[in-house]
Amino acid sequence: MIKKKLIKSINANIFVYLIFILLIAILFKNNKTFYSIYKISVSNYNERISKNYENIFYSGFCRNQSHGYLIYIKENFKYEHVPDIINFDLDKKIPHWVFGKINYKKSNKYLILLNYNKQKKNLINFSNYKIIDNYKDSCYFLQKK
Amino acid sequence: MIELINIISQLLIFILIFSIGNFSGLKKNYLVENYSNLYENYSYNIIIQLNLILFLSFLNINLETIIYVYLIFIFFLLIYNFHFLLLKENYLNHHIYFLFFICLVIFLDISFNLTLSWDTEKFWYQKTLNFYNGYTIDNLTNTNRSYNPHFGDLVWALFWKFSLIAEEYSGRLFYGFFYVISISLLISNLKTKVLYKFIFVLLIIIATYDYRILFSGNKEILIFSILCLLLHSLNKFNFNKVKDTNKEIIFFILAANLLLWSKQVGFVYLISLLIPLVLFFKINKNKKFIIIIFSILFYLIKLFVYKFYNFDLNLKSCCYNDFTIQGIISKISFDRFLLILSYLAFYLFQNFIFIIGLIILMLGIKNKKFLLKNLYLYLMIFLNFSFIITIYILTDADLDTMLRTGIERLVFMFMPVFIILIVNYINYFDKRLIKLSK
Repeated sequence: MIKKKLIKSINANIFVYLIFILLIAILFKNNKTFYSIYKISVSNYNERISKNYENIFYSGFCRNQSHGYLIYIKENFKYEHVPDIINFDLDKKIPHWVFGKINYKKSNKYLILLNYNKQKKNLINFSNYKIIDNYKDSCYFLQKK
Repeated sequence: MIELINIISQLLIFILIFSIGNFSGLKKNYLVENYSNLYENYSYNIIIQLNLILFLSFLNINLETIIYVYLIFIFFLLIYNFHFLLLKENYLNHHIYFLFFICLVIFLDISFNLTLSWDTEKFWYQKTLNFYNGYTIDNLTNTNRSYNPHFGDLVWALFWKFSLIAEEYSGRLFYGFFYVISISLLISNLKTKVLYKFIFVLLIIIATYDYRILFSGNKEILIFSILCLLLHSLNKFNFNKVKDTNKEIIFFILAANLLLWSKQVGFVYLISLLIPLVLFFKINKNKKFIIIIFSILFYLIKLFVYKFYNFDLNLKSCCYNDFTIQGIISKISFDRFLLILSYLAFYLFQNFIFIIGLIILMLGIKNKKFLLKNLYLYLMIFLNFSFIITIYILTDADLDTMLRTGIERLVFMFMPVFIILIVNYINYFDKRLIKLSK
């Protein structure tokens, strides 16, 4: 009985139902819903946010504000307090928020260099530090010896 | 996979928690027959629960304590409405399926995109972290731009903490839920079949959806959603659909309070609602007086909280320095005015809701009956445009840069006024068609 009623209703409003389905398809396409489901299933929060920041003009993995590299450090290394960060691209901001802390003490022990520029190498004496991570000689995670 | 399940669980929690209080007096038969009451109930719950969270934060208590008190409140609501919550019609109806489905699509997009806007990274997210890390309202003086209201970030932090997903975006999922509820509520004013309403909701979402503006942590989404609720309320007053005026006025005032705490600019949007309310609405003068007095009272409470916690009260941001008469006069020029208008036109014509709204705005002038009934919307649109032009004409910063970075979001915030104008015009047009066919 209910089935018959439903079929009758669909037949009477077939055009409206088609529009409804079409709009849902547009919403799916605009939001890349299936791709999102796939990405959420196969990658974690840090991988997704890092990848998406690569597409933003003021950021990248180890470029501009370098959100990706900071997320990578946060995810893969242990440190006390939030490391000190120097961005050699002086026009760009440093996204400290990535570490999820507020009113924090900056670490004296750990240092992150972003967009390292060899022409300004006088600023950092590498002999004082142990290199924990080096990304293409451009972004470094250092520990004071 | 677990994250997907957690996202769905978060959505179910929202649906459950915001349907718990039966504030609009739903009855079993209403649930099935009356579409608008169901969404009204959700929005009333949201308004009351968010006000509670906001007022608790004023007491300088940390987020965990706020959550405990909030859960006790939810528990009492649960006991009080237990018989109502057991009704399967409450959850097993096509409105809820639709709500669930649309919210899920939006939740998935938020969970995938994740990036924060420039403003959020710099100003808003610090406030969220402040609450999430156990600090109270008192510590907000140590964050950037303490004059920015903390309400949106408090809610973000609360639903981040009170979630199965341990990541920050779980707090932003609430914005998605609120967005869908507010649009559905506004569209519920349409006098048409449920399926057509669903189609309209989908159209509005497709037209307005932009992750960057809505869900990257900006607070424009809150202004947009709260304006939807307030306009729904005004529309009910306008068409004499209010059953319990006192109750509606209380919800209006509470929603107005949230508007004040969403963003500094919320105050201006509230004024643009109150002026038409005073001038055009046939409500008892005493009740109008109560609305005005309470709006002022809530604004004074805001000032008191700012003063008490030493938040910065001056809007000494990048862009406004010179407010002397000479300075203001020197800034007003035809060239600047023209530049603002060109940007305004550019962004208005990028969205089909504005295009249709502007056409209806002009067509409506010809219909005296429609014009008289919707004069308050015309005044609101005029006030909002004037406000945007004034904001930009008075700036001391580079006008072109300011327009490029800000006008899109400002224009977006008053889109609900155009949506309700379209809804009312369709209702008016529909009535005429029915009369002609008779």
